Amino acid sequence: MKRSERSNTGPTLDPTTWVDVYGDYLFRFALARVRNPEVAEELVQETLLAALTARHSFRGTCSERSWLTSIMKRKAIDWLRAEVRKRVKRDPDPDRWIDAQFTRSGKWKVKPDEWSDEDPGQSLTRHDFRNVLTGCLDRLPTRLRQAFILRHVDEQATEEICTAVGASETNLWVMLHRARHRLWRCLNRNWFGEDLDTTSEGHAS
Amino acid sequence: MTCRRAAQWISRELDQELSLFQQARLGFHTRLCGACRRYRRQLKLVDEVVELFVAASTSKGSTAALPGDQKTHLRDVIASALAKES
Repeated sequence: MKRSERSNTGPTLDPTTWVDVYGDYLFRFALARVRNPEVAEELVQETLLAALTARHSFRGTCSERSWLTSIMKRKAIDWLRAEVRKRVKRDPDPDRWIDAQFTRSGKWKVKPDEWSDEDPGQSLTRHDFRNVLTGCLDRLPTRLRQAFILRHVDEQATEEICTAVGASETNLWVMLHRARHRLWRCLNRNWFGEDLDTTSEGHAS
Repeated sequence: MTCRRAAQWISRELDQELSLFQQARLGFHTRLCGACRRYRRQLKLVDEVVELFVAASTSKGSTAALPGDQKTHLRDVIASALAKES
């Protein structure tokens, strides 16, 4: 398409096709992140309504799909911010998972075991592995899980994540370590380290 | 450097938040410490596996879909909003 052809009108969007073309995609996108079908449905609706209002500002610098995705990301962050605000109860001892791993002097209590399979793509093809991973993700507190997903899957700006989860930047790195460590531990117990019980033998320090 | 500190830095490394100096110190520690080396590899794997999993759950391979009644509802909402505009 020549530039001149669309300079006047701008790219056109067709909102009447959105539900059929992007409905399932947006729903899956939301569900994979918020892990609750009802919330995901709500987010799809909010996204499409916001897109409807904003559609005249669409400049066509990205595809319709990525444009809608960016709106969905924003909606998911708004949801998280509200969610974090609602929850007054914070984990009183968020470091216990990491504490449990190290001695007072900062040495490994139980050293990490060799993992049986180190090909994530391969593991993910297995239904039972996906169940374990889903379980591990669901066991993380919402705040940690979302911070982790926003940072690593959606590559959101640090500042934005901090605002959404109500944490300082330093605190965010600590939270991300907690999230990773708990996932690591959960996967270790339930999947990769099937013979974990025999680990620390011979390593005693 | 304690292993506990190294573990924190390993996570920060994945966040690309280590200075060059810290990277060098961490590198020095992990060259000497097999347990931290392994932890480093495995935490990286955790990142990769979650990333792939979320991407796969979003892709067409996933069977999750917006329920039909919700689709009907949304089509109506959009249609009536458009009708109001014109």
